[in-house]
Amino acid sequence: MFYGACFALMSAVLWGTIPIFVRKGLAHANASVAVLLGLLASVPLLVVVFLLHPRSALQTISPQAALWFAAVGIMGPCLGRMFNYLGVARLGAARATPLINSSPLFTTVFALVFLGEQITLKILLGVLCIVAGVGVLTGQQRV
Amino acid sequence: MSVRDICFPVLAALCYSTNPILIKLGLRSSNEPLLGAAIGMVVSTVVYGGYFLLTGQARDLRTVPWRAAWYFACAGISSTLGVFTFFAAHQYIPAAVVAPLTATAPLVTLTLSYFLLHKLEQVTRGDVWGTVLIVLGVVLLVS
Repeated sequence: MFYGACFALMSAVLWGTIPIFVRKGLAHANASVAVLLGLLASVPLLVVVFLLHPRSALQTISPQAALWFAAVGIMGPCLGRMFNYLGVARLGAARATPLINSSPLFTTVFALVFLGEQITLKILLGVLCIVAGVGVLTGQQRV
Repeated sequence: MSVRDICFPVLAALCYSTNPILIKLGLRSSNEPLLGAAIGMVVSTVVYGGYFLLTGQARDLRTVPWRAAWYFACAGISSTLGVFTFFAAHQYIPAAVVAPLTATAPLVTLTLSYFLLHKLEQVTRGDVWGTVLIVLGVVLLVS
């Protein structure tokens, strides 16, 4: 339990620092360059994963799964990150990040509309909190 | 804050909101989360690199100062390490515990923005309340 919580909080800290680095860098370059350099910097880490993983990707990943994972790559690190960095460039790190991290709201709406999931009090409260938070953030004058 | 200002963060959130569904579909075919994440990252690097070159943006790289390149590289590495620690957390604790902990990332950004970005942006009381409400809402939705 302790190690799991530590790893999860490490993720939060690592992901929380990204907009800070991006905002500092965007003072000197554009968002598209930021996305490319970020992706290229991760290549050595990916090589390590492929080399150290006990099983070969070609043997364990089915073609169908590879297509789904490729789609994740396009929607997340490609498109998502591009819009993310453009948002940070326009609004700043502190204001854009919570808006970007409201994505579970859309996932919930998709699940309710397309999968017919039931709405519970917890879901309703969560949605209301996010909508109120977005309202507070977007209702302010730009500083 | 104008509608145009919030469209990029909202588009980013929409892109990211598809990830849990796509990942679930991929893992249903091949239950290899780390390799799946690595495949997604490789595809995104190749696709974005191709888009960058084909749209004639390569010359932008020459004008990027080393300091900005370093910031963007750190953002990319933080993102990838965040994914790895996220998967590591899932090996020790259930997803219902991991998700709310990682949802606190905007609080990290908010705190770091206040201390490290004071020359670039000001953190207002509205930013704090908006971020807290959104994080609370996301925690309610994902827990």
